[in-house]
Amino acid sequence: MKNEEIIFAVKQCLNGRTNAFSPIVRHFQKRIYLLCLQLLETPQDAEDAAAEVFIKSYNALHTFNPQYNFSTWIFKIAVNHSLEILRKQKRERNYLDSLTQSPNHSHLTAAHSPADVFFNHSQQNALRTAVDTLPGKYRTALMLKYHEGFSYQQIGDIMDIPVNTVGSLILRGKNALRETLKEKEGTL
Amino acid sequence: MKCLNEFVYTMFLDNELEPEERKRAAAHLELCPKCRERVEKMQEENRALTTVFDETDTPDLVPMVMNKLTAPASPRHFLRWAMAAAIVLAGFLSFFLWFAGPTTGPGETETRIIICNARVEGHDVQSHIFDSTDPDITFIWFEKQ
Repeated sequence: MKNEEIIFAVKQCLNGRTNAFSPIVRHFQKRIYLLCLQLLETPQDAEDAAAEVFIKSYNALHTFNPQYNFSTWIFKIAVNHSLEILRKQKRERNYLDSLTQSPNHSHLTAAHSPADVFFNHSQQNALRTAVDTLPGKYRTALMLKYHEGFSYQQIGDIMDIPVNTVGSLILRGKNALRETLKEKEGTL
Repeated sequence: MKCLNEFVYTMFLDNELEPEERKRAAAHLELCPKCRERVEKMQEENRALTTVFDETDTPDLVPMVMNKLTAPASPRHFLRWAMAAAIVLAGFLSFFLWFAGPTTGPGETETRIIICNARVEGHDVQSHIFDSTDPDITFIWFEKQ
């Protein structure tokens, strides 16, 4: 879907044709879901968040400036929404932890469990697992750069961070990946 | 020429260097096999990162999103909207009664229509106030734009 087609669909939506939003959701759903997955803890959280991102975007279509890139705009909404969910989850978890005083293992989801790390032998699987162990901000920067092909400037706009920080996140993220892969090579 | 650091090569591969710096890095790579090998490895890593995110299964969000968008607003949502609109109106009426009271003398009539725009929960709301001194009536209605 080209940017002009997206802008046309946006105009249709603003004229009350809700169904014109459907091709936009279809076009961006995988990318938005993947982005939410980098920041949130479980696929279910990411799925719910991605759906909410589209609803938020639809309700905010009147604020979109057609002179700018639609993907940057919607990705920014997705990052902000995911961070909002993270903050809420953190607050709830802190509260629950304070009640139970138990150690927090909720970040070890099925896909990130030590068993999976042990059983993933192929190089690509090892990389996937290593990516999963990175902090969300590194995963997000790497995904926006290498999966989405955004420039550092666009990533900075989406993540609301300075351009120089984007470069550092990417470099540190890749270094952390190398370290994790090296450690795994040692253990396998 | 001294070898360049990893940050410069990362930016080189990501097309983020200024033209002059880019030329300098390219010139060094021509002459230094060690750096060339390093950059080739980094390029391989970038390629792997491009595909690693594709392996995730994606749910179909279209039905869920479109159902939510086309579903009628819930009573709770409407109630919140109506309350917010009432607050806007109350504020406006206070202003209206305080500053714009009737200016007519005995036997004269005055009719006013006042339109007030506001944004309520992401929607443009327009409240219309029809006020007349003969007979002494006031109509108020809202329009969601």
